[in-house]
Amino acid sequence: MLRAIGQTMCKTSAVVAEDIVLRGRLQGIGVRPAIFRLATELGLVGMVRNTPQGISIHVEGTPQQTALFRSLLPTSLPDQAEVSGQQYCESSPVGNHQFEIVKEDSREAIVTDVPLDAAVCHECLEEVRQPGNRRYQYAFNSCARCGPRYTVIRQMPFERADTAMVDFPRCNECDAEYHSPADRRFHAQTISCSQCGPRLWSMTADSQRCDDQQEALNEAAQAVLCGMIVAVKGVGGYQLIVDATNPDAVERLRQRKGRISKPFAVMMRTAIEVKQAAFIDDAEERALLSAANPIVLLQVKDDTVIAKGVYPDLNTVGIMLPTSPLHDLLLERVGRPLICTSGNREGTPIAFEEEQAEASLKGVCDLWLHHNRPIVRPIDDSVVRVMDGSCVTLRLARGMAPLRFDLETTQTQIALGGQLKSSVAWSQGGSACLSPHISDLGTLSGQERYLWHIADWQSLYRFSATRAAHDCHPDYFTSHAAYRLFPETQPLQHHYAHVLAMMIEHQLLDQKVLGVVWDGTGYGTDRTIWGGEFFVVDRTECTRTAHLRSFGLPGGEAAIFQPWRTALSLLNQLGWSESFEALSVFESLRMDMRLVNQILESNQFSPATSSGGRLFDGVAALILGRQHSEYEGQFPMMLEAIADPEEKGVYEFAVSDSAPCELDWRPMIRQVFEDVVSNVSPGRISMKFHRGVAEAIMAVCRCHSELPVVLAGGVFQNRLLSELIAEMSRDELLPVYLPGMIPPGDGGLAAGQLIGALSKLRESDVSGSTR
Amino acid sequence: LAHGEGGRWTRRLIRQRILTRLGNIHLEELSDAATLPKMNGAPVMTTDSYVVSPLFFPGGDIGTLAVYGTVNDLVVSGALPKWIALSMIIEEGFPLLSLDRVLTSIAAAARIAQVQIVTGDTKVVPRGATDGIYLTTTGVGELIEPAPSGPRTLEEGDVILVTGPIGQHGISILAARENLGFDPMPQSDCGSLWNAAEALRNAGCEVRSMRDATRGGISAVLHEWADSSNTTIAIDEHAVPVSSEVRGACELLGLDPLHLANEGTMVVAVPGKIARCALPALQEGGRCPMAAIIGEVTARRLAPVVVRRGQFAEIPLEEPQGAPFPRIC
Ligand SMILES: [Fe+3]
Ligand SMILES: [Mg+2]
Ligand SMILES: [Zn+2]
Ligand SMILES: [Zn+2]
Repeated sequence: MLRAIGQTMCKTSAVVAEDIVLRGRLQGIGVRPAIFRLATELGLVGMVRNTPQGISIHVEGTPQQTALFRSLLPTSLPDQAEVSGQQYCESSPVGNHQFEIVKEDSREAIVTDVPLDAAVCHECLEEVRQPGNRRYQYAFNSCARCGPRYTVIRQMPFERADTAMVDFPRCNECDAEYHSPADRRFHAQTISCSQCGPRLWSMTADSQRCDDQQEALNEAAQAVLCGMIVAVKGVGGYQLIVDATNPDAVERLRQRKGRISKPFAVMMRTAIEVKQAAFIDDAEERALLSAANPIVLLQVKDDTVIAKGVYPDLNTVGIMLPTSPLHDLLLERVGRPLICTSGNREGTPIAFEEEQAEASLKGVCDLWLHHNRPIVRPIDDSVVRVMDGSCVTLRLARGMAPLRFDLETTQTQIALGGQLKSSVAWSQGGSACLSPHISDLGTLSGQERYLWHIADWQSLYRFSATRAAHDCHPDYFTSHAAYRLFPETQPLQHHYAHVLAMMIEHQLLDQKVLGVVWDGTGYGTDRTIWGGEFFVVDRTECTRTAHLRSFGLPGGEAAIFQPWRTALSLLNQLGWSESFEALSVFESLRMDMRLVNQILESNQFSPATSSGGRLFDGVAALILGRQHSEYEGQFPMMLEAIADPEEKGVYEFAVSDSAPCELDWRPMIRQVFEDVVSNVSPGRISMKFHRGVAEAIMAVCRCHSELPVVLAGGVFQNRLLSELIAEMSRDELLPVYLPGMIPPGDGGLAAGQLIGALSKLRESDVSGSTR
Repeated sequence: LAHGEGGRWTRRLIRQRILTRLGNIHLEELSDAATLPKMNGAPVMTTDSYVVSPLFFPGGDIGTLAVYGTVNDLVVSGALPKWIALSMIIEEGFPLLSLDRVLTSIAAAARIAQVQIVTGDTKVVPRGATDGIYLTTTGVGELIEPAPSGPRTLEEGDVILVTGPIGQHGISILAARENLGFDPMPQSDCGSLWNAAEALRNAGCEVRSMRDATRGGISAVLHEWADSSNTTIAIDEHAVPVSSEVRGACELLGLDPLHLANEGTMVVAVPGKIARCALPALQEGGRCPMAAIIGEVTARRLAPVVVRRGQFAEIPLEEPQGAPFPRIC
């Protein structure tokens, strides 16, 4: 019908031409084919091409045709398309004979977004599961809407020749699909089939190679069923796959990886299966089913088939759906939920090349399942958690990053993030990006990977930064990297950066806000360790208006892994060390406690901190009666897991009227201790503590009731705490913003550093011009 | 002890207390300078000041440190230590008993290290101008050929050894300073490195570099070596000898023994093929039963020094800075 209108109009009117540029996340999701279809249906001639600036369209036809094109364009684009800017201008007809999709090679800075990896779509999965389909059982099926993107791009714009798929020329059948406007693979860059696409093979620990793809898959599935560990080359890197219902297999994985209690993520085949294993609401289901394909933290059901050893001492487990057809084929063959954890030694970055994976996972896995589609840049799986009905990113990675955010700046700037959960951010050509989570920087290979990524992103996004923002901690590796690599460096206080990140998240940059930042540790401007902070912040200024009362961390980092030290330090301020030492659960530590008590007085060996994360550690050690923690945040997570929601009591904090105001935890710790010795259940104590912290935070918020509040810092990964605050703030009509896309923890730090550094630049520009 | 009474009083102090303990031919002449006999090898000279606090600690005191510190500086340069000049700055009111203790230690250490105190100087300064007593020792020794070729000559494949358990001195000082009641108390390793160096020479081991790992511990030495040879030095954490007292104290305080000072323990770099002869030489001839091979020199990477934990995790070792301080991110 449209076509008929177009054709008749063409005969009666003069030909005009128009140029249109669309910016945003538009490449790799079938935008050009959609435009092609619309233009040809309307009888227009011209062309569409990917450029570094976005998508550029030239149409020629009658004024009516071009007007119709303009009005229908927004609704003709694929669902995933995000248009962040558009530009129309008149042009002169060049006399095209048809409408074409043109390839473009360009070296300019890119303004459009690098496409993100998308989980296998429903249609592609159906084909793989459909006997008789020519892609039946094909592990690398993809289409215009789904498949690897970020992980296969060598350079922008997104064209097959510049991706890892260049090694796999399309066969005749795939080529026909590619050129057929009616096909859902029309102009899809990553398509392939078992005739022309990548191939799988398996390799045993004693170097037995199997090149038959179905055989290799069967072998891998069989190994998993026997309780073995299989390293599978996924989309973003190698993953270790283990039967999640087999406690012995889980235990073996823990031993080989040297990972005692940190939870593993689980992959399940369908949302229905997930519902059997865990409680799941609409927002959680949406996150689970989204193309980003994150690991979603869900509350497990008691009767789940998932082995307890997957999530020791917790009541939540991270679950994801199949990322690619390869995952689905494995899940189909095994018929059970699978542990799916990144393929690395603890502390080292994820392996993504065959040889590297065989070397680094030797002794960890029993079998490798490789494929020959190169991973151009590795990326971990994303992790999200729904809080108060919306999705909070805990780890920004595959399918979600690089995360673009709008920023009014023309400056090229990079921000190098923190030490833990490192990531970087950059601005260039009018937009800004937060990178995916990189790696732990405590190991040499982690540091090497970090520097590799910085070089890689500069080349992918075609910028070269000379200015770097970094944390004001002088000994972070990232601070050293700033000095070493960039001529101009700008330090920014850790918690200020956390608040700025949440301000850009909620588009509050033009306002004054109260930033509540509770995290593990960050270097304060008074050279002590901060982490229970309240700041009044605007874009250029930051005032510490309140903070937790400080306490010593005996032995520094040692206190993070022995949280009982922090408990002792807290009780010592009440003069109750001896009563603590008398607790029978800590009997074996009595000698150590005596020594720790001695160093509590020493500033040198017990650095002072106002950290909220460490306060949670200490209280958790006291309530749980446990001695050692394996990873940062373990005790607080366990504390959250046991909280008894029926308990309505609340512990007290005192608020001083000094400036800055001190939030005094001593009344709280006194009450906790009294409840512990009188054997109140840990679940009830935990709940009263969570309510107490929420109430204390609200008390400070009330003193600034004219300001919107943003919650930042890793402590707010705690769903119970965040939701308590959200609920109280609703009752009191105080605007409180929970974290969102940008992670509240140190993974989001770089975004805040970037904004802080750019604001300082802007300020100096302004002051420079008025002088 | 009083000050300001001029020459007569000081001479009495010297005659009564110092000469009786440190006496030898050169010193008894009481002249301002000592005339020393001719040597065969090139003269090697070093000087160092000692301001340690506390003055007395388990395993030694400021006097032992002043002798062994200077002796060891000569030894690691490849010299035979021979003579020492001693200068003392004493705070008014410093107990004579303590002075006697320090002098006795100096005498004993000099005897063990086979060096002579040949000249010296003593000043008494007003209260508060020093912290009890400061010592300065200047040592002269005779170079024994072939001398170590120096840290710049380290190359890929060289092996790194340590002569004994590390961190003893650093922990014993900290425990004494902070009044930490460890049981047993860690003892300082304060002592001469002559035997160890001599044993390597006797066994005919080619040595690239030797260094007494004092301030900053073996970490400081390895960083300096790696930077001057443009290599990366990798060590295995489990191979580094550490006594259980030091390990326990480090865990408590959040310290890394690699950063702690030693006063009688050195790091040695030898070519890879020499390792098999150097280790038994140190353990038997050198009377260093705990000596160990702790790592090797590799091609330069991102970090100058890495510590291997297990088979794969390589942790970059931070360069020590100033006072030992617990780590915190
Ligand atoms: Fe933080
Ligand atoms: Mg010296
Ligand atoms: Zn698809
Ligand atoms: Zn094909």
